[in-house]
Amino acid sequence: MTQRKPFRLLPWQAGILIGLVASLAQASYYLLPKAVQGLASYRVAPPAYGFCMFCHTRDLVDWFLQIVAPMIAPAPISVIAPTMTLIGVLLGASVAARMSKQFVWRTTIAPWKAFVTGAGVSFFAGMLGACPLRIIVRAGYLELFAYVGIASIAFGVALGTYVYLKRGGG
Amino acid sequence: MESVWFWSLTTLVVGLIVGYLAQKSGFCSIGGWRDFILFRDTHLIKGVVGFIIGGVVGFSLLALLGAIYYPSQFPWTYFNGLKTISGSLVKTNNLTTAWITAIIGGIGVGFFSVLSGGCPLRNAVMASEGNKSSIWYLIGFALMAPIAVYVFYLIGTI
Repeated sequence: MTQRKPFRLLPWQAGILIGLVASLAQASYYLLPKAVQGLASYRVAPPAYGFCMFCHTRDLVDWFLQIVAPMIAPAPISVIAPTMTLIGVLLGASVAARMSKQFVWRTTIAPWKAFVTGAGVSFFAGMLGACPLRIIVRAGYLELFAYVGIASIAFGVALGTYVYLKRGGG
Repeated sequence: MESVWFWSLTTLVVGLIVGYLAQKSGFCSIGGWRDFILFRDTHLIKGVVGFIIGGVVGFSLLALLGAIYYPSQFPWTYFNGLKTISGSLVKTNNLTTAWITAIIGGIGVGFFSVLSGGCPLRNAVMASEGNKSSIWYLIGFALMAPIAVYVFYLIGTI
């Protein structure tokens, strides 16, 4: 059997494809049955909501929580059915990693640090109204504030890099 | 398509495709900015530019086909002015508040993301590759989401 070159994509190619998929996912609201709980489809979800790591994770968790904590309101669509974006990403990446034999257990020395940074990203993403992915989807929707958000994210990255280097790469 | 679970299935399929593509390319929206700021390396940031271009093309296509549920809203700023797309936990009609929220939220997201090594999508991909640190990141991410909603609910901005 001849050694085949492993299939890889360049980031810009993947970026264009992901952007297309994420924006075309918006059409699924249009395809939804119009009689879903008597709601019109534009009431069910905000615009540019096809792909978001934070919002959909929040909606998934909220869908499980809505019995015990009904005051936590997700986007109306997620009350009806849970969003599976996070699970889909995990499955898709697992398939890709296992097919190209890149799956290796990598241990960590500071799990609490990852936990805290994850919680911080989640909190501020809630404030921004978008994770770094959805802010780009919103930028594709040609919303001005998305570009403000992207610029602030770039500034925050510069700040984080500066702090990281100042602490000696710790 | 008659079932309400259609939306769950859609997000699952979209997640599968995006996760596969991200794993094959190493796409990261935060890593792009980090590499550009540190090394002036444009390898990853081209992915972000491509994402924006793909999004614009996709939404234009939907608007042309009339398959966007608010066809007249596609170039959002053109039709709605300086109104933000809803989604933020600080719901406001005040422009100053919207600016402050976007700037503080963006800086916080960028700061914590670069310390954690990538955007949430990249961390999910790394978790699928077996990185235990990213698994802890995702646990914190998922647990904090309803807590953040509850905090802003208590503050009274929702």
